[in-house]
Amino acid sequence: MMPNMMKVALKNLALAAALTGTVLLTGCATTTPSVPITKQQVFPAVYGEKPASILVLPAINHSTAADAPLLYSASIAQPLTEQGYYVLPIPVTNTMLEQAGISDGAQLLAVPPQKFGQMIGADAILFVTIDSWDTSYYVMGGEVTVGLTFKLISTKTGERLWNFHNQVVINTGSNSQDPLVALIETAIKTAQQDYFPIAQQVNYGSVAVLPYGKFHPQTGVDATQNSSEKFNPPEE
Amino acid sequence: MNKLLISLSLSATLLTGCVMAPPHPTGFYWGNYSQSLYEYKKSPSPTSLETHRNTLLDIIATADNSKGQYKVPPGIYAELGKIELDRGDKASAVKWFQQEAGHFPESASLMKTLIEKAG
Repeated sequence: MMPNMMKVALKNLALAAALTGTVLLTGCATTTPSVPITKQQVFPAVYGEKPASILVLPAINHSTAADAPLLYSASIAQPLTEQGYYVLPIPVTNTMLEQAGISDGAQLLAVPPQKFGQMIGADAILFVTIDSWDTSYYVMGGEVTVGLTFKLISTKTGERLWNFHNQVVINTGSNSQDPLVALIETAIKTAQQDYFPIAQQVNYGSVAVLPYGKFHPQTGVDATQNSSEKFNPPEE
Repeated sequence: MNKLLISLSLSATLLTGCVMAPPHPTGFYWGNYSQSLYEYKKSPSPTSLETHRNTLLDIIATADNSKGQYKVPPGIYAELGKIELDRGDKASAVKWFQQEAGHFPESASLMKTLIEKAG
């Protein structure tokens, strides 16, 4: 009995933590009134084409953080797969691209998307632009601002299937009400800031906007679920 | 002081708790995958590679022993194949690539290329 209860308790804790994460992720979005709109209406091409496999391309890094592309590429496969997609093995495909002299996604912008379908068998390719990865510290706290723009392109039509811009501000300071504790906690966290959990959090939050793929039990079913206006593709 | 330490470690737990996925609807078991991949890519060394390889093997063993509760996620067999190929063990590499293709038809084209390259 005990292990089960522990399991339930842990599950609840994880759920609470996940919810807190969601609040943090969405909490910073601008408060435009959202019009009820279904996912099918927002992402018709994904439901129409039903891509099964995705080739994740190296990030296009516009931020000043040199390690941001690695933070991204090491943490994107898991959320994308859990969303229901077959992700071609990134360590394998990245090595192949490196051997061809490609380490930055920008080098691939001019390549016809169809090529990736023919050569690697991917249904879609995922570009990401890291717009920002900025850390700011102040006496009693700190935060990291991460801006990512995702673009999922069909290798059949070359058309854009999904497009999403995510900007997240993550508090890296202390939450303690006690100023002394807050000061010490912030100092310790600042010194040991591990950006990888932040990268994971941002990737999970971004990919969750994408309709479910074939591995997810709710694939297709989510078409009629409400979406939010803020998930509409940004104008280019 | 002890209280401070406890609250610090608790907040660290909560921080990582955000990304610790509970058993997921897809049923894929990831173990320590993303973290060990990141650490290997950040500081490549025989040790970090071995740690990552063990993570991959642990994922397969856990899924295989779970009586169907967990599945091996996409790409795990393929990554092991690549590690074996880099070490010069072509026979093992081909075996893993075939496993990936067998479990995930989506990978067939890429695995065919890799098997030809290994052969």
